[in-house]
Amino acid sequence: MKINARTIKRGGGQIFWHLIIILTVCIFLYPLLYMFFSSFKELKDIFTAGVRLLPKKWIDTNYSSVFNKLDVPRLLFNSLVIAGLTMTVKMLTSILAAYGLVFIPNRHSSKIFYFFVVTMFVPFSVIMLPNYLTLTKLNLINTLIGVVLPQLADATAIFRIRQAMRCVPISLIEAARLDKVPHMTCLRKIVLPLVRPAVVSMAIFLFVNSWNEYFWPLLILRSNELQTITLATKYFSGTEGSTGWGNVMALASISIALPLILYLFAQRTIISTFMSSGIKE
Amino acid sequence: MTKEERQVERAAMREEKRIVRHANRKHRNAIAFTLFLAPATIAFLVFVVWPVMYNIYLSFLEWNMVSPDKEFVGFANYLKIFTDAPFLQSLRNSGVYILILLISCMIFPYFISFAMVHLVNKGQQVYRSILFFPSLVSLAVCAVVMSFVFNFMTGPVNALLKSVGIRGPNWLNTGGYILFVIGMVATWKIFGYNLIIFLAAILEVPVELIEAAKLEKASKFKIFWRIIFPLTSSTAFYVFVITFSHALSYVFTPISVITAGGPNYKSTNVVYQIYEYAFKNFQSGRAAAAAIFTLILVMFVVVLYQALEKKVHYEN
Amino acid sequence: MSGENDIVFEHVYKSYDGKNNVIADLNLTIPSGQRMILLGPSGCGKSTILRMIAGLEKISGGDLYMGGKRVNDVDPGDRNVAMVFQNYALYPHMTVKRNIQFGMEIAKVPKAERDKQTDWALDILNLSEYKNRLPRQLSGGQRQRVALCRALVKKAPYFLLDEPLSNLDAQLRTAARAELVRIHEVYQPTFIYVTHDQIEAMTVGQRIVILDKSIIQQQGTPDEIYNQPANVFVAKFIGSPCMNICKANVENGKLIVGDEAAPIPEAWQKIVGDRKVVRFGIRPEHIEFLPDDGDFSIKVTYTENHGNLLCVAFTVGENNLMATLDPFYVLQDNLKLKIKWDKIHFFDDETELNLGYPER
Repeated sequence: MKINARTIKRGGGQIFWHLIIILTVCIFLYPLLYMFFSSFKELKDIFTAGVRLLPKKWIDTNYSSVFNKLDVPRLLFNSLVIAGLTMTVKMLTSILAAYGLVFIPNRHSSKIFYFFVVTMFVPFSVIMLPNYLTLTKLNLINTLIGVVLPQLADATAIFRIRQAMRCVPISLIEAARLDKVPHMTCLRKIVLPLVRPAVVSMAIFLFVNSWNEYFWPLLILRSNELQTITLATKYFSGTEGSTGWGNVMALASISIALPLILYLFAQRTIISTFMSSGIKE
Repeated sequence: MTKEERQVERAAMREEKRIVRHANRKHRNAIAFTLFLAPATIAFLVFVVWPVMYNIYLSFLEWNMVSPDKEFVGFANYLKIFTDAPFLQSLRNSGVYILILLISCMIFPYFISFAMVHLVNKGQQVYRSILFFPSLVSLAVCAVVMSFVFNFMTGPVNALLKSVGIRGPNWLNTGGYILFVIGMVATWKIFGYNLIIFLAAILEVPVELIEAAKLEKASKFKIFWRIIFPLTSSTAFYVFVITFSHALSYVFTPISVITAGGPNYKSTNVVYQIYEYAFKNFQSGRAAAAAIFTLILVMFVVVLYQALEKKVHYEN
Repeated sequence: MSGENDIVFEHVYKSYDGKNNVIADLNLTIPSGQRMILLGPSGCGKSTILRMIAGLEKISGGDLYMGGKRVNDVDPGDRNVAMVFQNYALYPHMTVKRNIQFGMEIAKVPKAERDKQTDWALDILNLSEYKNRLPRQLSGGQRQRVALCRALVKKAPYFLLDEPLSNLDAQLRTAARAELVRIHEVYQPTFIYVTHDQIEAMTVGQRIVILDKSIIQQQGTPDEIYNQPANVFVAKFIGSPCMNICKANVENGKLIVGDEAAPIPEAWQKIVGDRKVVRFGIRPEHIEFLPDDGDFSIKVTYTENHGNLLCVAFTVGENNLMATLDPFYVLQDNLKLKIKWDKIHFFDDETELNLGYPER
């Protein structure tokens, strides 16, 4: 859908709007750049730099300090495990659910789909406390699994993957029915290869969201060995106070490294998955 | 039994098995459907439906979440929270957050996406890629960074203001300004996502309509107001609803990271208050009551949205 | 040529909403081993009937028998049916070879056997060199042949085709028609072929069922359909250009159009009976013009020379007709239409049914 209304835009007016957009882009990019460059600045430099981004002198002691003070590999590992598990479980349940809704005829399909959609609107505040209590009862406080479970209640992936599956031509499925292809096989060998972009982009999106998750790790993880890097950034900014800004920025930069790489790798598919029509169908 | 009789009996059994399998085939789809949808449905039942119901139950109790006695207190919790100054403050703040986010995360991206599609010729892919990225960055990390950016003495924002002669306020410690900061953190995260949604909707408006309007020398504002807006209004409603919802929940993280609700409850919002009631004060009843309050609020907006959507549908 | 593998529809109904019937009281026998065509305009129900045979559409009432067994509730995969879809339904991410083999893969046929069958089918349809291509690398005609291969390897007794040639260019279609007949010869399954193109029906079919609005208008061989159409609909549907149908009065044993009359031969008089008004049909290729000596005067409205024929549009009274003549025919003035009584068809004005033919 590269609709380009070239005919309506002419010459000079464009520069103006370009500038507005570029200004917006700069405003949004600034905090990231500030974070990144500050991680290489000396403390004095950070304090006096004002708006200037580039360091007067590039140093790497912030990073070495972070690695000394925190078990960074451990943090990354924890984040990886939680995000990986969350992503895997959510993808599995979502793909199965989406397939069932689209390709297995059933009277209750629409009702169940609307049920899923409604859950997306239930405010977090209502779910917060009871889920915590459930996890307490299951003895999952201060465990990685305990952080994974509450994140499962999210229908975004079901929604997007179902949308993509609905684009598979029905005649392909009918041809498969005539060949007596059982549902799991149909899912694996026919449908999934055809919705790969949506599946990949949702997987990355879920992974990154879980990596960035703050609330459940905050509530559930108590011991230091189990911190995620996102959570650690918050605690670290508290413990470092006003003398460790550079260190905090370094840790923050490390924490966004993986999401950034994944994003660079898959941003086109991710964006197009979210832009495909029928958003709130 | 003779050989023939045995054969007939075996054939009859085979036929019976086939009939039984026959009837089962009708149910085969039902079984498959159940199996495929069970994992997701169970997850939602356990982590969404049950919590809502349990929350309602909790809101009528006085319980500190630890002791075995739970005291039934009827609507007392609801009354208490509405007379509790921090909670009332949080309501006021929530209203401000909603307002801030509606402007920055609904009107602003609407405008920018219109500009990206119809006011400039190229760059759309690049701009949207860059603008979408913040949605993938952790809200907590962003909050930490923003707390530095808005630092009273050393942050770049005040440095910039100073360079044009304005004395920047103490963003993080002053009543109204902190709301703005928290709002900006949440905006940073939500903007890109909403932008993409608006882009998709605007791109669906047929180019011919725009071109026809241009031939009639319609101004850009008219084009937006008369063509784009009506045709994308259902998307706009949708963004309104989710932004409303985010205004309540997304601001939790920056509040938790930067201010813990302060100074003096000036930055807290409803969700953070619920968190405080539950996990700082151990007053589960009040937390639950406040949560139900937000649920009703959101449900009201969603129902409004459904009703309006139906109306728009009929008009189209 | 009835056999054990016949398909029989008995009082079959189909409805989507429980109230309106899209198919009502369908009674149809499809004899096994033949190429049977379901022909009719869009929306006449032919595809629905095909899909009911395949099991892709549920039957709301009545019974469907295949090979003597009632199959209403039998899964499509268990009906031993091979189908070629209108848009071919090839799996876009699989090679030609895998597309063809996929059914066998599911049925756990050993690889060697699968490859053997695939190569056999590819060979029949001259596609061997495209074995490892993906569908998107093939032309429309090639994709269609891959779909045929896929259906062929199943060696099923029922071979269903849903407008298989409609997405092909006119030129390809001629070759494709011959190919379909050739494929049928391979093991002579029952072909059930849906189309709206009467030329396809007439050339490929051994038996044709013509439908209009889900009602069977006529069943028969191409010859029967062409030369003895059961009603006006069939008469006008078959033949290109279609049969000319004119309205005429009958009085005193004469056929009257406008002010002119033509005496009706005795053999036909018995057929026409007491009717005062009647419709008659003549195919364009059976029209004869004679200068001054014909039955009804004509007025030529326009002519089209197609290279191999001359199409002449003309009027007789208030009727519009079309004639196809030799391309070198020279149209003179004062031409008259001569009724060829051995080529005429009579239809009742109200019921539109064919009145029949005299004994020959």
